[in-house]
Amino acid sequence: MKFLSFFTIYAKRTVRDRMFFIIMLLFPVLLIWLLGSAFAGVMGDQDTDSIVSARLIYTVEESSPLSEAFETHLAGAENKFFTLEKLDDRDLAMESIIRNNYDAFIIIAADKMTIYKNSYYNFNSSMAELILKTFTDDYNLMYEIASRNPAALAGAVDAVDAGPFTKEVSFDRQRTPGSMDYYGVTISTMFIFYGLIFLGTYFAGNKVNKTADRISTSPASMTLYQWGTAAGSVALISMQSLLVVTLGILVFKIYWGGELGISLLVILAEIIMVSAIGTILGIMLKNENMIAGISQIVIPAIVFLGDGYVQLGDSGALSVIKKLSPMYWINHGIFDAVYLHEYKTAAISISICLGIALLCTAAVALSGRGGRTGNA
Amino acid sequence: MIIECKGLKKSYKDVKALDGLDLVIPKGMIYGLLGPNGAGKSTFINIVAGLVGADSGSLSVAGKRLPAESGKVKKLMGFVPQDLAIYDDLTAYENLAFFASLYGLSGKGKKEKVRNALEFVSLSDRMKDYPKNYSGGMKRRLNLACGIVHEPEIIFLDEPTVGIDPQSRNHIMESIKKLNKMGMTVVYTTHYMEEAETLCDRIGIIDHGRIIAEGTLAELQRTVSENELIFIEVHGDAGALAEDIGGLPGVISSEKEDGGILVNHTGGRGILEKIVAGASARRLDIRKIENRMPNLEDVFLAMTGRTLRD
Repeated sequence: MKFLSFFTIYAKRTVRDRMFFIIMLLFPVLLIWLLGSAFAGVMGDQDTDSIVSARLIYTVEESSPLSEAFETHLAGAENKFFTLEKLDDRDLAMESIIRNNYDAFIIIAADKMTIYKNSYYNFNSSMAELILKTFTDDYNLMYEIASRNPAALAGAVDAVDAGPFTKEVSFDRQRTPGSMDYYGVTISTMFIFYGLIFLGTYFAGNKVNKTADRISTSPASMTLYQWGTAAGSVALISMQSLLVVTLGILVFKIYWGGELGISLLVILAEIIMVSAIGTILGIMLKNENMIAGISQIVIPAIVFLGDGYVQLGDSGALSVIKKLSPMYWINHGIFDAVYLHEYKTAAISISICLGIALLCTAAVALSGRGGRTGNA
Repeated sequence: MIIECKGLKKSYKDVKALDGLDLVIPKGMIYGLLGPNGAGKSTFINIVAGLVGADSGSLSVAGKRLPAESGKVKKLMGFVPQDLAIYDDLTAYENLAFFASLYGLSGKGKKEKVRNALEFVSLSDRMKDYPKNYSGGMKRRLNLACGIVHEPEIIFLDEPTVGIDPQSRNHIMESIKKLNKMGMTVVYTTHYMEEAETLCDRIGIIDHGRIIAEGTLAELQRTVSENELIFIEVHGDAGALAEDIGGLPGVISSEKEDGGILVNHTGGRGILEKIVAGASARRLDIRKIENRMPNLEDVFLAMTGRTLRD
């Protein structure tokens, strides 16, 4: 009951704050529209066929069953998603990759394959990697069957012969993020972060106006107060995010993929992290201005590093530093899920967000302010 | 005794806020804690409220030791802090309903208590308004209502009349008397001696974190002097009358002061009649006669050598 009181009162007070609607609803929608329109044609709004058609080259170092299978089932297959050319001059092939003439270079040895990816067209080279992975998985499966139960191979080969090793079912690359799609994701995830300002200033404001003291003198525990309020924040930002995503889909036709659930899970984990950070900031810092000031410096930095404004390159120091930003994992978790059907990054991002949330919760408990307002 | 504390100490870095405070507050009375700013009044209240912990000493409320049994004690207590601890963006009703819910109230019971509290502070007709649209006095009344909505046994009021107009001050003072009549024990801190004099059954004077004097108003007055003072203002030669009065039995001194005569005497019957007779004999018109008792300011001055506002 008391938990519900804290939950409700946070939601009620925040909903009555016009700034919440301006910052959390109006700004993201406006920014998606502005940035999406401004960068249209720059970020991948080209004809999708030209983007998804990855240009690959390969060389065979040593003829083997592997190279035969590769050339038979992959190089020989016609596919609208990639073109595959053989180039035996290894140095020339490497130079072509560096010069950006191709997206990836595959070297086939007797029992292994090596791929060199072009970092400029990240999406296309990732696609090349996926093609290769699909091929090797199938090849390895055949190899295992052949070595353990050769009799069963006939059926398996029949199945393989029915189609190429690369299966389009796992490779639904009908589109790549256009500017509107890109900012639809990054702006949505960015503004979730601004939710921490509302929660942090709420806690700090309660200290300043002494209502936290009044709560502290009541039989309700401070832990309940913090959890109830943070839960209110999670609920409110979740609704706000759903609204922004829905508006984006309906108004700007933003593509969130066929499995929106994974993206929403990533977003929910981010919301939980943001609410945990907001709680600890609100409890630790003395007033609202400090929280707003710190957030307005830190959030843009995190968003910038997380490819939130523009995609940073994959080379140099930034490529390392940006991986420290939770936004990087959140955005890429969603992009990988939506465009590559690859969920590993999403899982990592969820783990990072929940890990940070857990750390914040532990920090509140360890600070000894879980049971007091701490304004002695 | 509803509150008992012994040897309570609390320091903030090098500053001793409470320096071995001993205090006993009987149930059912209005107890005034009077002292200058920084004397330790709010620190005492904050310790009882559980907002800060004491460094040492013992404290019990309604027979329950603090902080060990604070969970049980908190249900019995209500607090009205010096600052306005209300939400400006919630209506008066919502404010009270929220704080009532923290004491486990819900449903009809909560609604009834919220309405009672609103009626008590005369804000029923403005219950749907936001406090940001209230006057300072109305906000103070809402602040009071938030502290009593759950109908506690003991209510702590920390300088609740600071910075408000006389009308609102009177309203709050009357409300406190009513609360006391309803059975609540009231602990009232103030640095206004007039409030303590008119409101409180017993008064503890606190300075530098210790109780320096404690008792009823009359008891405190007697700690300053056993003598009584009479001030008489006459039209005419006050000097001659002062000499006459000085010769009366029981009179310690009789001096001209502020256009009149201040008579210090040991008490006893008939002294006033003799003074009036003396003035009449000298054909002097009496304009004013006052029986002057030492006030709490005098008590504080006598105890510390400083005034309450120093």
